Amino acid sequence: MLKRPRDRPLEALGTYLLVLASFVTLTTFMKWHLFHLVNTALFWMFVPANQLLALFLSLSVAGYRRNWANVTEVFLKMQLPWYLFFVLLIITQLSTEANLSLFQLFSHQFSFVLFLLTVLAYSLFLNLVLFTRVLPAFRAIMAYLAYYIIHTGLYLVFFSLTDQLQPLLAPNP
Amino acid sequence: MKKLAAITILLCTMVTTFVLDDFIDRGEALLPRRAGGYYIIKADFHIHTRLSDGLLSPFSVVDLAKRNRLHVIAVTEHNIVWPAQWARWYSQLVGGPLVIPGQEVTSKKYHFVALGIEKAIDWRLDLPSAKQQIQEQGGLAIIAHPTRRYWSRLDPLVSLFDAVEVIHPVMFAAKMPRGFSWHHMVEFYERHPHLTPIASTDYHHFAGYMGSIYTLVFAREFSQQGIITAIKQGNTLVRDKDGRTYGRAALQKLVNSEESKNPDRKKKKPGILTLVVTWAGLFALLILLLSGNRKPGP
Repeated sequence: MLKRPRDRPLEALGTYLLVLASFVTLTTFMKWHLFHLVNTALFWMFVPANQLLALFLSLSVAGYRRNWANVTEVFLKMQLPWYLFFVLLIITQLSTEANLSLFQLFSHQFSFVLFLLTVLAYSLFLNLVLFTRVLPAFRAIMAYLAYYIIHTGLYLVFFSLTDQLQPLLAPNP
Repeated sequence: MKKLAAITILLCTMVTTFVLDDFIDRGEALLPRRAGGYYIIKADFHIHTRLSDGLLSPFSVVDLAKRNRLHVIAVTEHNIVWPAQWARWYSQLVGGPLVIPGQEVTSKKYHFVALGIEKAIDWRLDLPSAKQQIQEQGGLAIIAHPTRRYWSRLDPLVSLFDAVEVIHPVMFAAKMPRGFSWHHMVEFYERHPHLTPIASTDYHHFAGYMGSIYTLVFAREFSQQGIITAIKQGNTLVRDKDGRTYGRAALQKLVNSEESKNPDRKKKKPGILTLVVTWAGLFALLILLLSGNRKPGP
């Protein structure tokens, strides 16, 4: 009988942070820097922490009590569309060597917006698949909606605690 | 196996970059030139980090400024000062640029940079009270990106400010975002020429314009106090994308003669080995991501 592979949630979390840190480091310094990768990963830890906390809360409320390590690992690996999106941005920045921000590069390009929306939609779909695999249909959908509500709420709490909610809500010039 | 190879390549790229860049290309003294009794200081007075709405940590921001040969930076988060103090600590540790703590005071009515402060200014205060608190801390106030929508509030109180951002990266945008026009900033300065002109990147993310947009400050001493005094006295010079300068003509002459004697060193481009290592690492990252997807199990 085939043995199920061991769950590796920490390895998946490491990959998540590596992608985030690589994106920030490479698009800024245009090369690898161990120090910047590590400190960027630390400063961006709140993003996966927020997602995982929202996942844990939404599944718990829906009655999920089984293999948390597995669900965590799979959830993080299902962020693949976003990982690839970030890698694409890195490649664009490295290959254009643009001395300007990527937002300027892309802000008026329909194709970029379309791509972003596709990634977003695909990611929403993958998360729904995850919820329906681990819970019965109705509870899965409720938990899935709860996940996004909790996720947004946690960001609001985080930005309030760091005194950044007001500047974010203040209109841009 | 694929995963192991990818991790090995990634680690190798880190070590190689460390040897190529962090180890060899470090330790350059960041001292400004002197001419006519002044230190000619390259400064960026408007920088954000991850602790507000930027992407980089305060430490990485310091390193980026150092690589871009800035002598002085001001970390100016929205309504908080402590990230600037972290950046200053790190910069002192690694011999980076002089970091002046600041805050971008952000409210619905206006945005302005409080430069040279240690305690945050309450964004709910009215402008005269905020200015008083800044003065009590020995700092000064710079109007941030004065676009038209702020004019009606800023115009009657403009005497409270010491300087204004005239140059902003938005001047490079092919199509300026609605309501955020660089021409408004220039127009505002031209109506209030007694304000000291400042060029800032309002840095938030990516390679950006750090190092290519800067204020030249002509200070008698290379210190926070010296720089604040110089700005209050109007001793700055800034340049727009077309080469037009804003500031005193005498300072422009000083810069011209100094630049002809000692031309600015061009920023070093990454070597071929660095490029190879960077792309190899990226390829390894891609392999790492595409290997080993799993379905949720029981």
